[in-house]
Order: sequence, then C-alpha cells, then structure tokens
Amino acid sequence: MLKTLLIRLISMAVTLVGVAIVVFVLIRVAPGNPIAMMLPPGASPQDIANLTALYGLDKSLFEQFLIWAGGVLQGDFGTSITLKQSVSSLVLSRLPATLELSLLALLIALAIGGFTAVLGARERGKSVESGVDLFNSAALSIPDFLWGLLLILLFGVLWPLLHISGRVSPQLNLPFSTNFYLIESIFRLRFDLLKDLLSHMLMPALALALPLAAVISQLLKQGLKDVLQLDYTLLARVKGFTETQVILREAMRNAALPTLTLIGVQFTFLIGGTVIIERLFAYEGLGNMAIDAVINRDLPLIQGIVLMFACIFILVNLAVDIAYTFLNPRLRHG
Amino acid sequence: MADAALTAVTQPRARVRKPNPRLWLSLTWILIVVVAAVGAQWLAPHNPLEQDLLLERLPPLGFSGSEASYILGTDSLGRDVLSRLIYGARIALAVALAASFAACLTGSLLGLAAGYFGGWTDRIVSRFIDIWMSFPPVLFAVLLVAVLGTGLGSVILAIAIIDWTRFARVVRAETMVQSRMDYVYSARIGGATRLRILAAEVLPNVLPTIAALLALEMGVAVIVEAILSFVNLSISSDSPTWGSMIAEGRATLHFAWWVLVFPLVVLFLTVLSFSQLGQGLKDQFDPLSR
Repeated sequence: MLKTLLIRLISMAVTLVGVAIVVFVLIRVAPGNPIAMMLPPGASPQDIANLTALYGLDKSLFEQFLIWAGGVLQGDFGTSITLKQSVSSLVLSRLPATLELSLLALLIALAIGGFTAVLGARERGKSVESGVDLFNSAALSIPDFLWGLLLILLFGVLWPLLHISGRVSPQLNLPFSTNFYLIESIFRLRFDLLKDLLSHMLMPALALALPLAAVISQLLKQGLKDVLQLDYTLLARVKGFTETQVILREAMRNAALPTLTLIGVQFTFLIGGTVIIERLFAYEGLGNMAIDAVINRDLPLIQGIVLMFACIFILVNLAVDIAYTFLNPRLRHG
Repeated sequence: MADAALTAVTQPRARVRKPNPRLWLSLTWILIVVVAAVGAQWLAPHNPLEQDLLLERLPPLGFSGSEASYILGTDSLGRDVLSRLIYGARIALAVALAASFAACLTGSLLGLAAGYFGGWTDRIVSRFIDIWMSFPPVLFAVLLVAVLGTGLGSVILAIAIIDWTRFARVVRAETMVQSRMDYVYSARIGGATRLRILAAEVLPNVLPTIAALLALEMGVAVIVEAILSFVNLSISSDSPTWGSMIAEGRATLHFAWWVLVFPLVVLFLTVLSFSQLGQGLKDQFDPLSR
C-alpha cells in the first residue's frame, strides 16, 4: 500500500511539473506585451526595456522558466504585474473564498444526491423513482453556468430572496482575522454574518452543486438497488427493519464505495466550474481573479493561480485514493 | 402458428425502434437552430447590428410599450433581440460543429492508439490527459483565447485543444476492452496487420461511443462559446452571440429581463437537445440499456 502511495506521489509531481511547463510556455507565446500595458502611453523604449529587465522578461524562455521554478520551490511565485503584490499572498488571500464555495457546493450536492438516491432506491420501480431519474437527467444535462443564470432569474429577480453578486454585503463590519469568512462566522457564533454570507453564497453553490448532485444520485441509487437484492439485506428485512433502515444501516456502506471514487473526479470538475460561476456572481474568489489576470495579461499571477488549481485537483484525487484504500477492506489488508 | 412466430420475431425489434420522444424533440429543436443559422438573412426581421436609441429596451410583444415588428423586444442599444438570436445561431452552430469534430478527431485517434498499442504510447497519452485534466477547463479556455487572440477560429481551436481529452479517455478505455475480444484474436490469426485490425475491426465497434460523445461535445462547445462571449473573449464584440447577449442581459437584468431570458432559453434548449441526443445515441447503441 505504501508503495502504491509513493508511486502516486511521484506521478503527481510529474503532472504538476507538466502543468507548470504547459502554462509557462503558453502564456509566454501570447501576443500582447504586458510591460507596454503597464506604462502610460508615451513611455520611451528605454523605459520599456528597463521594466522588461526588472521582471526578467528579457531573458530566454528557458532561463525565465528556471528562475521562476527556482522561486516557486522556495515559495516565491513572483510579483503580480497589475496588482503589484506578491502572487502567493494574492492567491492565498483569495483561496479561502473559493474553497468555502466549493465545499459548500459539495455539501449541498451530497445532501441532495444522497437524499434523492435513498428516496429513489426505497421507492424503486414506482413513479417516485422516475421522478428522481428525470431530475437527474435534467440536472446532468444543464451545466453550472446555465444553472447559475436560471437561479439568478428565479431567486434574484422573480422572487428576490438572495443576493446575486458579491461574497458579503459591503456595508457590514467584518471582525474576521482569516479569509475563511463562513467558517469563522460559525466559530464566532455570528449568525447574522453567517446569514448574510449564505444569502450570497447559496446560489453560486447550488449552481455548482446540481450537476454533481445528479451524478451522486444516479450512481448511489444504482449501487443501493444492486445491494438491496443481496441476501444480507433480506435478512435485515426479516429481522423487522423498515426499508429506510435497511438502506441506511445495511446497504449504504457497501453501495457508497464506488460512488466515492467518482465524487473525487467530479469534485475537481466542480472546482473548475468555480471560475465562471464566481465571475457570474461577482464572487471575490480565485477564479474571478484568474479571469481578470488573463484579460490584463498578468503573467506571474496567471501562473500562480493555474498552479494552485492544479495542486487542488491533484490533492483531491489523492485524498479520494487514500479514503478509498481505507474504506475498502480488500485494499486495506492487501 | 406462423403469425405467432412472426410476432415473436418482430416484436423486440418494434420495441427497439419505438421513437423516443425526447430524442425526436431534441432533433426538432436542433433542426430549428440549423434552419435559423442557414437562413438568417431571410428569417431575421431586422439587421442584428442596427442600433436605434429611440427604440431602446422595448419589451416583447404582449407587454405594454411593445412594437409589433420587435417580437422579442430590443436591448439597451435598440437592437432587435430576435434577429440577434437568429444570427447568433450561426456562430453557435459553427463552433459546435467545427470544434467538436476537431476535438473528436484528435481525441479519438490518440485514444485508439493508446488503447490499442498500449505500452509507451499509452503512457505518454495518459500522462498528457492527466496534465490536461489538472487545468480548470474554463480558465484554460480563457487562457487559450487570450493567447490565440479573439475570433471564431481561436474559439474553435481553443475548445478542440481542451476537449480532446473527453474523447481520448473514453475511446482509450473502450478500445482496450474491444482489443481483448475474441474477434480481434481471430482476425490476428487470420493474418491481418495491426493497423488493419484497428481500422477494420476495433474502430467500427468503438464508433457508436464516439458518435454519442460527439453529440454531447456539441452541447459543451456551445456552452463554452457562450461562456467565452460572456467574459467578452470570444468573437469580436459586434457580432451577435448568445453569450454576449446573456452578458448584456445580466448587466441590465433589473430594467429589461427579456434581454437575458430569451438568449438563455435558446441556449438552454440547444444544450439540452445536444445532450439528450448524445444520451439517446448512447442508449440506442448500448444493448444493456436497451
């Protein structure tokens, strides 16, 4: 088991280096000179040359990569060209917002997906199950971007319950010492702030959650239905368990395992979706900053953000692998 | 007796061929979009780019203050929403077709090669898929269009560069399964070359999967184009695209809901239709789900 884990770690490192090279080369062949965009019109060629040298952009591509990679290994991701701050501090200041949104979305997806799967499995073969199937098929075919727009129309305009932009109301006085607003508001028992945060985050989180909820529901329902045909669940029924008890206490453990692996991959899709959802809801997270960085040709910032996303993706996959190994007895003892 | 035998033989077939209403509805909508795209210059009641500030934000027909010739109303520059939707179908469809076929061709070839030859070919292709999947796709698309420059060609290329992995992953797995089948062994014993087996034996069996993925990918391509237009990175800002209409509608949501709602409905139906078509094709070919 240790050996498989080690192989995974090495393979992860190779993937990360690959990502770093791809993004590094990609943004440097981009037309448009970021230095010229920074200077006021009428700057002399000498000024441009000086600033180019300052950011190390006059060196060869290979040298630039070595300098950048050397910095990254020491935790230095360079300085943002447009925001004039260190990339690592910018990325880390926005990361909590994106993580909180993604985790909230994951929770919502698990809740909706789990509930509809149990419901569909309990009422299998009846019209309730067809209803669940229909919901899943719709939720799956519609991407998060469209869900976001639909929700904006529904809960922002027709029935204005929730905020359609931002992370928190700007007039509020925030006592937070970290950028994990949602988590901190719970720990500080500031439920007024929690309510405000949720009324901003619920729609983007729901838009991200719905496709994942459908995947979970579909797979878990099928898993439950398969397990419910096995003899040991029959025994539980004979013992006098209700169907819901049989599902939750007996079938769930065995049915959940295959779903778990899939949630890992699907969760990375969800995190990828935050880029456009954050833009749509003007939510101040990493993805929103990334789009601005691309539009402004802020090369160091783009690199930093893309690498951060790649790290998150790889870590999620690793976490799922580890969880799977622990939950699956055949692998645990193998 | 003969009749009974005949029904027994024909019945399962009749069940398979029963028209699937979702599939037909999807095809009908796609046909409408195709007709709109092809016949835009005859169908559109107005010039989609014509601005008239005297006619700004006219509501759709049936609401007070509407004008008869602007059925779906006008946007904040007085442009006709319906005409822009019809012309927008051209760009959406062009992207859907070109980007999907490009992604399909690249991804399927690489997937076939990786799945069939295995070894180093497989290792290299799989590594590239891993690297590609570590990018958030929307960010990747925005990045690529920034690199390639805005324009129809760049958008198509960007989608193809990102989404080939969707084909490669599935086709690779399917090819692996197919190449271990008995018919492949018998073809090999029969003396067929590896390339011939791949083209004549494996490919036809993987083709249904590819067709279903292709339909799904068209829906994805339409959405990605809309997302790129939404962040103002797609085609030049004066060509009417559904995504740019949505971006404008999002900004003027509280004054003119119709500027957002109609392009949203059209985009919604188109994406839904392509995905239902893909799903339907998958079910049609997959004997298990039949």
